[in-house]
Amino acid sequence: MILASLFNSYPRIGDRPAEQVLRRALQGADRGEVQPSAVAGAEDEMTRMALREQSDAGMDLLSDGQIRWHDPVSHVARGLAGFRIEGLLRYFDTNTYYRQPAAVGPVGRERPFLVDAYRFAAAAVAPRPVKGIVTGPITLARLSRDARGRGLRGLALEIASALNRELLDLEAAGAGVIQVDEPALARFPGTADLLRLAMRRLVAGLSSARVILATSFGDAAPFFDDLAALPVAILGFDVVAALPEGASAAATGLGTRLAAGLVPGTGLLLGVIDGRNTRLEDPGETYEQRVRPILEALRAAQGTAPEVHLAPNHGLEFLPRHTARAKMSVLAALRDRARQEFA
Amino acid sequence: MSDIDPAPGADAREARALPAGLLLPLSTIGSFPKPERLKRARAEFSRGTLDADSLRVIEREETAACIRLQENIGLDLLVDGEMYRGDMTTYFAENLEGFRISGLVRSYGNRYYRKPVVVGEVRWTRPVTVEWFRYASGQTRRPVKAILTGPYTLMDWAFDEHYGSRESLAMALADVVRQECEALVAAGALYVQIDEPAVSVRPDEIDLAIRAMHRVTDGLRARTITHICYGDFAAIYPRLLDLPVEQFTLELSNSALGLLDLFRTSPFTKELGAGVLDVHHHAIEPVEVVKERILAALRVVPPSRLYVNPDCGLKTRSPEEAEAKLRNMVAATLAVRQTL
Repeated sequence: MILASLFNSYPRIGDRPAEQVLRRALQGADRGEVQPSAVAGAEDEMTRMALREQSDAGMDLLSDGQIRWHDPVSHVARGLAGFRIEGLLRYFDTNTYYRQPAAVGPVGRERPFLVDAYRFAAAAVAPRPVKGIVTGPITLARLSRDARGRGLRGLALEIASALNRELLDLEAAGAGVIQVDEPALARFPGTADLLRLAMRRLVAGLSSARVILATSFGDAAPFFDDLAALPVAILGFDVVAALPEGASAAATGLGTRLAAGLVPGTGLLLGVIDGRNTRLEDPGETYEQRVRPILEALRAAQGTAPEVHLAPNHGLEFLPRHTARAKMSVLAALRDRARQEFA
Repeated sequence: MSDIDPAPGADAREARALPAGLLLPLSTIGSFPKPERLKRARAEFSRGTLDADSLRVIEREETAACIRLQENIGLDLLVDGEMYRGDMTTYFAENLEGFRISGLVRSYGNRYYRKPVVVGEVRWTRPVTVEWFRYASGQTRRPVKAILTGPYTLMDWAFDEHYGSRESLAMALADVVRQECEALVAAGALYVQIDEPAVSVRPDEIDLAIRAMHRVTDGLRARTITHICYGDFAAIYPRLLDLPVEQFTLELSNSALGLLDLFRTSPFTKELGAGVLDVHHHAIEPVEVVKERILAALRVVPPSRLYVNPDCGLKTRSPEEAEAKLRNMVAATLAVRQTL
């Protein structure tokens, strides 16, 4: 099965006035001129627009675009007990920011905080599937301030247990695929044992939902063996970051490395489109460099290609809206070619 | 335009310097809030219902008003307030060769900007900010600090579709920024702030940022300053101090003065422009709170090397909030000066 999918986020704004309803609503709320319900309505509208554009572009598995998220860190921390949201910090090497959570008390989850948004998105585009998305415990622990001095391990495991309840509720709400974003893994490698423990806690009790562990912001292939042993259905890789400019996954051996380490039955999410640069990929060249060599290696190793999600390597929120749409068109073209050759 | 000479030339420039012996000079980072009439005018201009000349008249009036406000509040080292700039990277990209401007991209929260795209060789073809520097200087007898965005940040905050190498692009932009600096100095600028907020983002590229800054400031006949904010300072400190500038204006308040602890691990050897106002909160810090922040900064640098300023540009605040915050900053600084 070869799918095309967003990575996670989608632009919350565009150049047309109709694409700026959320900005206007938030500005009005900031000035005290509009009710919070108007902001929620604008979030709904922009979410529907993000879903519609993905559908129109032929995406197979949709994301709500994280339109309601202030940032990937504080949005999840706000949903959990035990955090206080503090000052702005740069989000990895982007020129966007997140508000840093401080873990000031026992971390828990009192009520679902992602489920309503999931239900809204799923209902808006049914029967097309929508994936639930949550920022993972290692990244949240890394990017938070550990005010109680529990240490990375203690905090990450506490968060994993709290988020486990959210994943169970997402599954109960019908999410067949739940993506756990762990951008911190590639930036701060060397936490294999902790990752294994945290992921076990995070997915405990899930019965039907298939979990994607998505890495980004760097090349996770060097510690692929650590990832391959995790209890998840699909592993996500930033193929753009793993390949030097203009290099092919065949020449660098990336495809062979992934194929050799992948446990049969596990799928791959391949970030093959650069979500952080406006330069539009040439579908033919991108297919030959970033898609085909990996799928060929997988087929050679396993007899058949596993489930593969072709995706951007980052949320498309980093791009102007018209570029995001163009990137999805390239993605759909890559998916079509891959299906012709490997499905 | 003005009856005050913008005063180019070395002697005239020095005559505009901050008074010798002034302790804790008061300044800001660069941007001030745009008044509603200017926001409306900018919106009308982008819709095509207001012409460029009419917009410029309003920008000039508001620049003059901004200078008067800073004098009235009691700041020592003024800025032009950036009434004519939309954003700190896009504005320069619009005025340099080699860029095109993309659609809206989220900056953070509910703020968006048109991110520049490098589509060819970047070139400086004419002064970008000099006319505004002259105009602002002409409104006051106090020194005006020129504010530019640094080469590393211009590189990091643009999409690169041309160079394919972060180093090549950063160094090309360093040449561009240097040319603008020279033009500002020729126009009388004595204080030049080269903002590099992106420097704290990729610790592995601090050497590149330093190399690029050398190209901008080596031998430049001006007091050089850089502004950096909201990043992982621990990863680049004390290497950060090798950026070839005399002063760092840094965000301290948004991060609860955490940076000062870092400066205790290794002495802060440059002038510090201490950020004593959080520009991302509506709340007006009481004078006592600001005073405490200044005193905390004085525990890591001597009074002779301390400047006082907000964390970052004030454009995120309303005009009323910005003025109230600054007035408390001035009151707190005056109180601390009396104790020195």
